[in-house]
Amino acid sequence: MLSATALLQDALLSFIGTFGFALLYQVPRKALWLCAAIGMGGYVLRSLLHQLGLDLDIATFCGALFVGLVGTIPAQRLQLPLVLFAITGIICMVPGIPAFKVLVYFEHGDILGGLGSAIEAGFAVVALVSGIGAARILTDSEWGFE
Amino acid sequence: MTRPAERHQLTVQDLVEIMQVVMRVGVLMLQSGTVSFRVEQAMQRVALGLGMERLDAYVTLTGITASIHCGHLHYTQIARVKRLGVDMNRLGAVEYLTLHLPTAATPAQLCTLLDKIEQTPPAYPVWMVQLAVAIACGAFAILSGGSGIDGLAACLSAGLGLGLRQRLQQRRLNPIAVTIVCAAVATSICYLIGQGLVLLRLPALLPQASFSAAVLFQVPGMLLVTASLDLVRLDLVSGMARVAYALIQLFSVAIGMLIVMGMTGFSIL
Repeated sequence: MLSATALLQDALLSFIGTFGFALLYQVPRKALWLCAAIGMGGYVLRSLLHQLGLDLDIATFCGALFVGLVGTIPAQRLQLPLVLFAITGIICMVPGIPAFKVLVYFEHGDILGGLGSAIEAGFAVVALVSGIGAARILTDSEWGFE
Repeated sequence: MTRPAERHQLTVQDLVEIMQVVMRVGVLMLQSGTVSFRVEQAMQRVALGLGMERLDAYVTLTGITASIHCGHLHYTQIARVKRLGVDMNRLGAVEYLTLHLPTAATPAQLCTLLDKIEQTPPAYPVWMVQLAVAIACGAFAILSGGSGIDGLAACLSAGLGLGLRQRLQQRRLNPIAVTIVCAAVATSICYLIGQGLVLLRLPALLPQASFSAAVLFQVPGMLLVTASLDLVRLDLVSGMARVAYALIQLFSVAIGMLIVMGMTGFSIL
């Protein structure tokens, strides 16, 4: 089921979220809005694919791949490091809350809950970084070949 | 660029000067939070641009070892790297400099250019960063299922938490201690706001969402990504060091939250 309002809400909130972290990471002024837009694009793509019934981790991979691929264009044009667009772009998809919950579950004596949370966070991180890594290998020959 | 004929006139003193610049570039880039491979590339460009034949750099998260070679001379230096942070503005400036080295650059000339980059004030005033990050954390609270009130609570506590974090970082407090203290402070403010709302009979819909989002400004997102990029490049030492640092930071946040949850009896589960 597609829900346009949910997507719009995601778009707005992920734009604000990425913008905030771009400021925290001192992204140069000329790239600030682009960073937020790329972050929004990746997050909305993930939400869309998830709504279409794709597994969340695979949707995350696609979102991160989008961020990694699209980020190369402004990086070349503005002569800025690629890592700048990649990192701010995926920040909204970083599974912070499940990661924090791991210790909380363990502290409550819920070992299974903790492991579940750790695996959830781990899968999300792996999906994110394989998306970014794949984009690097596809676009940067120095990265792909020794 | 030195021509091969001039290379034989270089002295060890020249190599020392060149190495100082090359190391400074490396340390600045590493402190700005970029991946080891990019640091190595930039150092290589500077070394070759200053007339060296070859540079071997071994870049880890906490230090750089590098050798430059020229003719029959070579020189090796180790640099310790402390105060790791994220500063894309500085990173961009240093990388731009290494990509566009002035023709016939001298070490002294590059040193003044690096001085200029180092002395550039942060791109954004502190209050603006606090405001933007606070609003971002509010947005994350809503993204993870909270209501507008949750967003507001997370926004306020994250803003105050980040303010404290910046103060403590300025005092050069140990990063782990900073993270734990700020997580504890941000979550207790968020808890108090929640209690206040209950007193005003305006209960937050999902206090769990605001409670967790209030500490999201301390998520080591940058470290996790650079760690994996290092690992993809098989820079294993640097990559594993970053993984360890990211995990320490995540656990420190969780410890800060656990302290508050233990004292208040509130739980995010």
